[in-house]
Amino acid sequence: MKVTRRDMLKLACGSAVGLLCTPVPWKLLDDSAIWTQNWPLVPRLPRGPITFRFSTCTLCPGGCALKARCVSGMPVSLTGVAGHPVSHGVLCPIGLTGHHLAYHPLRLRRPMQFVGSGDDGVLAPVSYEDVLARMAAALGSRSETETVAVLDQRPGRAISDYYQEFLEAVPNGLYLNPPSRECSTAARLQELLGMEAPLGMDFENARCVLSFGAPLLDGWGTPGRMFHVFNRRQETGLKLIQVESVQSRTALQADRWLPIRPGTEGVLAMGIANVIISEKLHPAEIAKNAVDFAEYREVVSAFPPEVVAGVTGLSAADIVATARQLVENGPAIVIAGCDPGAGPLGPIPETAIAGLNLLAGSLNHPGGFIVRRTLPGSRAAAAHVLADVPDHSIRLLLLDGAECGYTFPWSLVQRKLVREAPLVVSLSPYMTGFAAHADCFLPSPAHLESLQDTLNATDARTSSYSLASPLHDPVDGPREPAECITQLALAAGIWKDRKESAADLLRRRVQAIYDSKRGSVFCPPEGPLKAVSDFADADELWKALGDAAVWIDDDVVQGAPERFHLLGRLVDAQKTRIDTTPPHSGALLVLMPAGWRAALGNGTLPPLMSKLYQESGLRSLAGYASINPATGAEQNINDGDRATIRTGSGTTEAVIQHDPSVMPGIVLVAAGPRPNGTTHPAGRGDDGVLEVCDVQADATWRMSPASVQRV
Amino acid sequence: METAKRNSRYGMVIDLDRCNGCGACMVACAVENNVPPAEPKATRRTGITPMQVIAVRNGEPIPQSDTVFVPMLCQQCGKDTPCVSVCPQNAVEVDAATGIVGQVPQRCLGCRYCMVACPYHARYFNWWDPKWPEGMEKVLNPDVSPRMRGVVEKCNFCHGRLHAAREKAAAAGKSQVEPKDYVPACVENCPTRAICFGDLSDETSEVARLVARKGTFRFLARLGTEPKVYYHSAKSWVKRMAERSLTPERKETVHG
Repeated sequence: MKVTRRDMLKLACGSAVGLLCTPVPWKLLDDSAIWTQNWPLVPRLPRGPITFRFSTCTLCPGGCALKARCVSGMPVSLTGVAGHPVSHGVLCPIGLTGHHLAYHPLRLRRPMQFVGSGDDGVLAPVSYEDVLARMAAALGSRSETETVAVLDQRPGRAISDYYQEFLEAVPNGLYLNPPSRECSTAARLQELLGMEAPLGMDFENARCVLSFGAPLLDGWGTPGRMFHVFNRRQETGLKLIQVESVQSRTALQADRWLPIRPGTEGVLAMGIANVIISEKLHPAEIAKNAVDFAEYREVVSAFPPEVVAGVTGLSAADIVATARQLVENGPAIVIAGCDPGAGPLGPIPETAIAGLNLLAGSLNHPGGFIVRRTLPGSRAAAAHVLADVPDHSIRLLLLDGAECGYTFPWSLVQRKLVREAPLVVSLSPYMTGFAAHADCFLPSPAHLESLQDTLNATDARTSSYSLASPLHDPVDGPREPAECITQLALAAGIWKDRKESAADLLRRRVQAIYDSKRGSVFCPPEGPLKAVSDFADADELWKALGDAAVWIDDDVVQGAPERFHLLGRLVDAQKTRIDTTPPHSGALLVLMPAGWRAALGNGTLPPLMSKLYQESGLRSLAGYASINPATGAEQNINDGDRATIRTGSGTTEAVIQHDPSVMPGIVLVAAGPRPNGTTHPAGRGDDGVLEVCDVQADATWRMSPASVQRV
Repeated sequence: METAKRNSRYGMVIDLDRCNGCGACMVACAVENNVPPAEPKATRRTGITPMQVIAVRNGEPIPQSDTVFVPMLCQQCGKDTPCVSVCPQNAVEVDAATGIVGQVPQRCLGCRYCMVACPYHARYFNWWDPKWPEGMEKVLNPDVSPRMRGVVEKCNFCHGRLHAAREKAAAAGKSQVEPKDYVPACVENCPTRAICFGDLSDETSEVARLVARKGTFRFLARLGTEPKVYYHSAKSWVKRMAERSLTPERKETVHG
């Protein structure tokens, strides 16, 4: 039989068709899916025994307890600690991925410095000793008027005390805290009361909370506590009134939202005071105890509801109802908060708001502001106000690495640095946040890599203290800030033979707590509370706290001064009074920066936060601005258009989003994070929208007249 | 004596009035399931978010404006599951024992037919090979295999946790998983306790009680796929929005 080419072709085609009828090609296709998923780039997952460890999150002042699931000792996931008396089992999205920060792309593992100037500067490795020598030289070469400063964004920690001790030993040493505070009300109350004792807030027993812009349910205080309190509103009868120019997440959850014209919060507070006084809703003793009650009454008489309504954009009925609710549905807490990106309301509105707590009679009563005891062994922070520091006077500036979660324009700091060759040294583990402005970097250990302390948050009713035990193995290279300060002080001849380590500073605190015999300790996972007096010695307490226990002070209310002021800064030395002229009333548009605590600018964000910012529309990246659709129609700017936003301080570009929850006339510009800034390095020292905010005489920057034009 | 094993039907009820849009569920899901951080070019459409929280507005001007945050995940369709019927690779299957619609990435060949079929846009394609910052592979979850470029993935109710719960039950000589031992990551980490998870076929469970509560609804219920993820809201405009999905509209448009 002769085999022809036709036969071969028939065989080949027949085989091909026949093969398709067999499982072989489908199996090969199936297996190829498996083969292509075993490349070398496929990560090999960790293996080993699974254990659970406890620690505390230190990424913001909230102090939330966390439980880590570990594989071969490495944390692979974090979650809250159920039943924890401080955080009530809650960990925020940022805290949930805190264990990834040790691998942040902008994490520094060795000292670095910028070589070259300005934008041409190149980051190069340098030895620790060289940086110390440079710092000591800057310290020693100062003129009589030049200062050395430490910017500490998380005051109250053991290292904060150490910074102050160092700066007190140095001529012209300045201890600086950030101008943005989560809640300024306590500080303004201290001014009105003429006392320094700390104040806590008894949300658990409050029946009415009036918040001026504080994001109570979106990253404020200890979030777990806030959710614990507000989730039980139906049972407790607690009412939340949110005063804000944007229908924020807190405003959405509030019982009432007062959409106020921005910049008129102080006027509203005076209007509420007017109603309380004119209808005699305040407790009778207030008139007796307020030393300036008569003058205060005269000042608030200029703020009747009808006038305040015209200024704030609210109705007179709403203002009257709010005032009545504050007193009749008490006890009440009134808070002046601030957006993490926009900064404080300003001392005058904050004073007006703080005074409402006194007027409502809830100071030192259950459900109000409570005078609490200070943390044993801590020193009162005697911080210099940044705005009061003379311009161009800081020769050497150290930036502590812990972030407070709130940001402010770097220009407020920049203008205080000497003009010629200032030296800014960052102690942060990451080249993020303000560290990006530094000349030298002495990185400290990353989050959860070393033993740190964290104390009570802004809102805490009583003092508390915990240690964040490390979950990651230590890395060669980073050093604790305490070591940096000690080495600098020794090199500059300020201290001799002082060799305290970071652990020594923490032990000092724990010893003080033990010696006080105050409070109780909760040991995770389930407690129960154990009195400090039941611990055998300070070492046992140290061990418990090192295992992520939390110390909570006894619920003892301290005395408050019987006499107080109500006016305070409302009337200054020139008798200039708070008036009813709304700021920027002639401006067509007002730029307001906005952000989410601990997720601002070029801040230290875990890489997985891209889920919220880039891979969904849940939060806005820097470079996005939101305007009301009506404003968009007026300005002829559509949703998705690129626009130039111009203020008196500069120009920025943003993609416009139409958002009906933003009041007309406002351009709400996201203050962070940077696009791809969660995973990829961003521009050095780029402050984004904060660079174009007008900084006012009272050191606020939350509102800037602006114009917006489509590109 | 341990009773005979019965099949479960796991589902969720999500209270939209409690959800504040914090995104903790999204991040917890990414950590649990070894989802990598975004590629620089990734967008809302091309990123991987098995759980995605979407802000939905009522379209009214201030002060009547309102917003709800809707956590959207695989709805675990229980009847005529669309993605199951279209998959050429049998990479999707409904587990009769749990009702969970499981995605098997190792079988997937990346045709994305299931993404077209899914009415909830709850499936995500791996456009890029996953990349983690250097060293971060050391802290990945050992219970979940990473997925490579070219496969589709979705929520599977934290299958790794179900396996762990089953092992624990088996070690204790039980045939049924204890409810407290099987809690998906999103449920565990929701700060407002807006998500309730459990066995819908257990009439005594909290999730079954919430399903029966007034104001509980499902999205696109008219399609008849019997999703096992329910939502609840007392706000009438939210229910009207969901009820619009009960009847087909003359002109239907799909966005996103």
